[in-house]
Amino acid sequence: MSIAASFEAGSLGRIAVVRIRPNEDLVTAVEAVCREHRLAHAIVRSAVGSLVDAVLEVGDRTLEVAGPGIEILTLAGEVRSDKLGVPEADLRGTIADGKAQVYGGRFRRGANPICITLELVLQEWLPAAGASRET
Amino acid sequence: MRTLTQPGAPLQPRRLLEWAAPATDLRLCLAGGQDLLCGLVAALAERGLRHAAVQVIAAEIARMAYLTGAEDPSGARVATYGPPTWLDGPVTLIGANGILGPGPDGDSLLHCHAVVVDAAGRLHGGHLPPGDVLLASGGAVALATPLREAAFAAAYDSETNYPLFQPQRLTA
Repeated sequence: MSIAASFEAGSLGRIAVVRIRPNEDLVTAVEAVCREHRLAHAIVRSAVGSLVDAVLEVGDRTLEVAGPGIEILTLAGEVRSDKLGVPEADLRGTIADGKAQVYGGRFRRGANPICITLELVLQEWLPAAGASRET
Repeated sequence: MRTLTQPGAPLQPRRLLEWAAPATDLRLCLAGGQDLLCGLVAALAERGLRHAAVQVIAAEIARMAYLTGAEDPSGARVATYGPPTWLDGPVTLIGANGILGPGPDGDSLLHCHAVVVDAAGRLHGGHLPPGDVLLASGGAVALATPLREAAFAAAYDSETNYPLFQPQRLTA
């Protein structure tokens, strides 16, 4: 049996204290704030906020959850930049709607507008020098 | 993507970021018999921490309330909280994110949302009101990331008509 894995050595660096205002899309706003502040790679350390409506990807399905005032309960994920320095966010988490139904999945790009606010703490991931991915 | 008209004019910039210094995280365990949020705020204050990002890793809960969002019938804001939902224990917390900073009155506020499982195995989740999450004997474990040089502090936000945590530079 072969084992396939890749590793990247690195360390955690600066901490970004972020707020996203209403009606901005969760995923594209996180990517934009990283691009604007030259934050190439990062992980989510904590996030508290709400969405107008939510669309989550679960396998090959999508879950559409109607708001407003959908609570983001937990948020995890990372931002990675490609060779051209363009950041891409992969954000996953759990939400609750106004009927206290809980859903989970990957937040679809362009479909999750912030309702009141998103308070977000990202921490920079600094790959070690020359630490292109080992396999 | 549906957007909502907020009560106040849109403020700029739409995305705010302040840089905090790298920090050493603190893992803390809370004993049972106390309130989760009040216990976390008091324990972190004892270590001199008033600004942090918090993940609650584990908690066993004897009784708790949570709030979920709703349209604001008054129209003063686009959304508000509905009435609390109370759960009797044992309730198992399976994840929670929080932001600690000075609230509108200057007292420390831990803004925290959590997902939990009730005694019958049903999932619940929402905003945790301070003082309404009583820990069972198993207590809680959390990881706090101190925010230094920059952090969140509550200030009135005219766009949403709420006091909200805003990124701010901290003076030494």
